[in-house]
Amino acid sequence: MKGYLGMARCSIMANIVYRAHFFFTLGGTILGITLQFFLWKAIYGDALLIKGMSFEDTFLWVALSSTIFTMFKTYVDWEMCYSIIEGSITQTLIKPTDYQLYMLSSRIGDLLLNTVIIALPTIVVLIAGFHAAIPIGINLLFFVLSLILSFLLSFTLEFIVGLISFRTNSIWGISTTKDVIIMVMSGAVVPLAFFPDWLRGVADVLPFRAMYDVPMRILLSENIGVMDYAKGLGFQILWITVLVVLSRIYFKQAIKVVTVNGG
Amino acid sequence: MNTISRYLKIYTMVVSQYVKSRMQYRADFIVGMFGMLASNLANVVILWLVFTNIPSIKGWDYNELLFFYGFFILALTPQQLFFDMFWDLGHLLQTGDFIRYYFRPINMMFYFISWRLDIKGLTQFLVGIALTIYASIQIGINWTLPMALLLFINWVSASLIMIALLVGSMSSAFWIINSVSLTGTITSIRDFGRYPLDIFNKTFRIIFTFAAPIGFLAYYPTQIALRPASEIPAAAWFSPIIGFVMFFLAYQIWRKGINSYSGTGS
Repeated sequence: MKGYLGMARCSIMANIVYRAHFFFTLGGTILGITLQFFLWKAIYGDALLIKGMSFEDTFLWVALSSTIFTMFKTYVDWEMCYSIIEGSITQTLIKPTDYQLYMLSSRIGDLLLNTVIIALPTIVVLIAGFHAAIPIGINLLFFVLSLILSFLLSFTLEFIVGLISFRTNSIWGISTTKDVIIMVMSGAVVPLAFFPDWLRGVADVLPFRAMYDVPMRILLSENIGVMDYAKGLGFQILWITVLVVLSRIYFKQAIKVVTVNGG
Repeated sequence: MNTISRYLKIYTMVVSQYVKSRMQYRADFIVGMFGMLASNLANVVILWLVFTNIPSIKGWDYNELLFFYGFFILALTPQQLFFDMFWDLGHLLQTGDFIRYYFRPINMMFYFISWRLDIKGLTQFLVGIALTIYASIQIGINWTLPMALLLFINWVSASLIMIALLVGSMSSAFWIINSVSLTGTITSIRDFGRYPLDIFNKTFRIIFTFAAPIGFLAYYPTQIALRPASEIPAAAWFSPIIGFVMFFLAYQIWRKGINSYSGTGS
């Protein structure tokens, strides 16, 4: 445990050096949200409700989703691929640690910094600048809980993509494919309520919904109770379990085909 | 003429080495093509999802937005295909490897970009062509030769803006370390250029026309095909030249950069 904590601390220290990166990303996120505001305003036009959602609901939904997307972006799949190409993975594999936990703890720093430096200021801008009305109550507690699960799910998916890159020795294509599938099928870019029924049915059973739709619904829905929260969290835990098990089986396979050139 | 054929010869020689070295990684090639296709199609799916609920956005319908998007990714293609090296500029400057591009008696930017040809740009080109043709049939655009010619010139100009945005922002690497973050931010703002400018308020319309001309990536250049001549906004007539101006400016930033770089001493 101590080793993993040390790893998390190191990743914070390593990241804090790149202050300008956070500045640009924060600026880009806020500007992006501002432009999304106009886009959705134009989509709504004179309509008060689309599929039961008002403009304010939808804007808050997509704005928070894109903030969470930036927050979760820790490039673990990219780093795994580079560690194969450069051969530095050997140094991690000979350590007496679990590889997956090692990668996870090395991401905690990125996540915390992204939260403090990008997500929180963006939410302040949303509330102060755009008068976003986030319902405050017990939902906040469940939202944070759900967000943590959502991060674990996001990490596991990226980890699996990283493992696939052990075989392909390339990352851009698979990582991009993963990103766009998540963005569309999780309801992050367009809320699931907007989907036609058949596609909604498909999205409902896939794991991607657990990343954005579940936490957003917990945070923003007015008339749902603890039972609904539990259902949402249960769905997340189910998929995390399935994907973690799959990723660990796949890891055993993938590690056998690792070929490192030189050292 | 002689110079052009000499440059073409050099380009083919250098780039074929790159293509050969990439051929080792066939999976990378296929996966890259697939990733590009997936991300282009995802944007179409997003538009489609929105339009299953509404008939139009500020008077523009689904097919017209497809036309904007098709034109947008066509304009992106030359940058994607030929200027991909620029994403590595910051890294090359820090390691000092960039110094090698100084020692050739040809244009330095030309030599620099000839080191890579990003083949997945071809996927983008095909998707762009398919979308533009499909949308123009659905809209029922009445093609005339002058219109097609002007649209082609506008496409060249829009492509130059795309290139200028990358070259200009990545060239900041000569002075700042985080050029990739800056470029990433500019790229995500640039992507709003595929929507009609009418969706923004007046301030942003002015900014996107005069200051950060992303309106010239798809909206203004395609007006001649989408609106009757009398309704075309005046700014649209500047489409053929904005790209050349932007590229000239970006090239000046690059030139200032390469003249100030002093290597890492190793």
